[in-house]
Amino acid sequence: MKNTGVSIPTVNRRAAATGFLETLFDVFRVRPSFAVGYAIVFLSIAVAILAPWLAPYDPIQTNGSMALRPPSAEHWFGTDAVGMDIFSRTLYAPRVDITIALFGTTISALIGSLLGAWVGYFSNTRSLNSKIGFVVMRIADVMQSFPVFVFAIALVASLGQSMSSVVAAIAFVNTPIYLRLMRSQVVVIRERLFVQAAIVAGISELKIIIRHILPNAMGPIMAQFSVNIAWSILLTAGLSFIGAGVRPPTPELGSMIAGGFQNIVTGQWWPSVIPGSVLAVIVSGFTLVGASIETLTNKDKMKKLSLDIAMHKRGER
Amino acid sequence: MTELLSVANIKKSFAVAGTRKRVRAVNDVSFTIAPGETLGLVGESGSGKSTVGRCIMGLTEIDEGQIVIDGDLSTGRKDGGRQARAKSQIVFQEPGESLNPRLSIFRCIEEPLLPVNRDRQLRAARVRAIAEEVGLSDELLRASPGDLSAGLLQRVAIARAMVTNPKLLVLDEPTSALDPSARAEIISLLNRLQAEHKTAYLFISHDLNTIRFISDRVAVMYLGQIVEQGDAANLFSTPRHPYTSGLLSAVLLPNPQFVQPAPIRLEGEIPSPIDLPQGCFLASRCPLADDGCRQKPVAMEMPERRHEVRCIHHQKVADMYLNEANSDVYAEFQNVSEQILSVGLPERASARQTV
Repeated sequence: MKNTGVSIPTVNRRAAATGFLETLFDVFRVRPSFAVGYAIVFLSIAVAILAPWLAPYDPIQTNGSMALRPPSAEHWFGTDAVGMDIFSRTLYAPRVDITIALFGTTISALIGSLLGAWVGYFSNTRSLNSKIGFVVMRIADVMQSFPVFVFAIALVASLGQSMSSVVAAIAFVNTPIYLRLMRSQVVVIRERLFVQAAIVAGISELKIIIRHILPNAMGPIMAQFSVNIAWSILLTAGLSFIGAGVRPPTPELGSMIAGGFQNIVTGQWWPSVIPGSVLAVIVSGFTLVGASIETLTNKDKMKKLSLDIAMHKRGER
Repeated sequence: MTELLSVANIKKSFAVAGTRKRVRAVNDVSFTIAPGETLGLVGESGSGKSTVGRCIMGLTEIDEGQIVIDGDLSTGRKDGGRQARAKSQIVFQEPGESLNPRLSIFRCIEEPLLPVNRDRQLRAARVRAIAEEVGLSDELLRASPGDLSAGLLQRVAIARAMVTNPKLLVLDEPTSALDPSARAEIISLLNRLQAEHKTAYLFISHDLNTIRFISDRVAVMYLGQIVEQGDAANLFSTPRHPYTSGLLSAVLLPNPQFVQPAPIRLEGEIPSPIDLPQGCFLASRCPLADDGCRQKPVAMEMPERRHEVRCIHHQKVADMYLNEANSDVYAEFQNVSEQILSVGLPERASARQTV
């Protein structure tokens, strides 16, 4: 009885690779909203990158003689109160919003989940680390008890008005979310047998966290991250709208809306409504992508999705 | 001292959330295991047998008592215990759960070597050697735990435990989650590994058939105490504790024509380990119990060589089994269960007879 001759079916890797596009296509057919989401996200990122080549005008070039012109062939989205081309500004604006949101969310996800993993791993262990973890969680409680927006305004006000302080504010208000999420994951995973087996094997605590706990806890973090980006874009625009974010001449959707909204009363709707609609589209695009990533990390939703694809295929025949 | 593992008077209790009461999971357990020997630890759910295994591995810290593995004191997770635990490994009940689903089988088996051996090539060679020994092909090493059946996963778990060549292997119900054919294979694998490496086993199980087959000695646990301990053959043919007798009479005989001799039938459920009885823990369920049993704790006695029992009426129990008719049935029962378990494993069956 040396070798029992057991084997498993080998997966043909190349077939899996070519099947990817096909699978993607199947998914998009039963979940068209995902396709819309990805299209919006890719488009807005592409536009943000290519803005200098796509924009017909300099986004911060004022022109007094052309102020508040309605949309025309010359200025597709019209001009604002100081004569800046709204189309060019709208192309540039996602650069600021998406960059700030992406950086802010990434920083908070990194800090929050690492700290959360550490706190979770040592919680209820009667060690000094457990007590430090308790203090960390109470600080997170205090942070979360403030209304997010007020908290962010206060942070930007105290750090000074700049892009980096908006990034810091977004990172700061989001960190407790990841901290909590990660901690609750880790507390469960810590008790699983493969972690116990690693402890028996004499693996160090840091290595157990990196090797066993983080990879198995990443699912919900990724889902939260993708939904969170949309929310952070909105927060960035919101801060700029009330004047606590990016300063006006910089093309940014929130400040553009704020700059144009007193003109609505006199009938010039375009300086406000156009960037507002663009913001709404971008945010909903990121939300849809977030929903698709959440589906990917959620067993039940994945089951439902593959069931729908199977149903769809049967319907075709 | 010739013992590989010596467990002396260990106690462990857990706090019950919201109250000041404590669950007394392990109450004064002592036993030893010699090198290369298999001790079967048997008991029903909640008897504390798994906790004993976890305590030995340092996964649960003991409140009192002392655990010595090959001359090294096993304390908590940290510091001094490391030396003791390098000589011991554990195999858990659920093989799927005990392997990280995100690592390849190779990396799962390799893991215990990481703190021991820094050379990657040497580690890989060792992993391949042990994988071949337990019957895992190279192809399987690249798979991930999700691709394998429970029986194969348990082989992986055993390979993982044996990769550092431990002197002691704690097997916490390693066959309970497996179907009968996979179970027979795993048991034969364990027997083969033990014969080759002289590893000592602490085999924790509630399955008396398996315990009877694999163990040299057996310890029976009830409510965190060892109530009877002795050589497997002796303990199974003439149990001296009413609880052991009750467990034996609850075993399904592998032949429906056998009449189950049931000298002692236990009634009711295992009492709560929070409020333990004052006297013998079994008194509320035991037909032999009298006032003497209920008044004060029962001490371990040794009525014959290598056979300990915690019952003041042990002779009465033994007498029931010494009557000829019963012992015949048990001899037959042993025979048949060995036959069933040894399908395809003749080497152990013959080894057993020479012992």
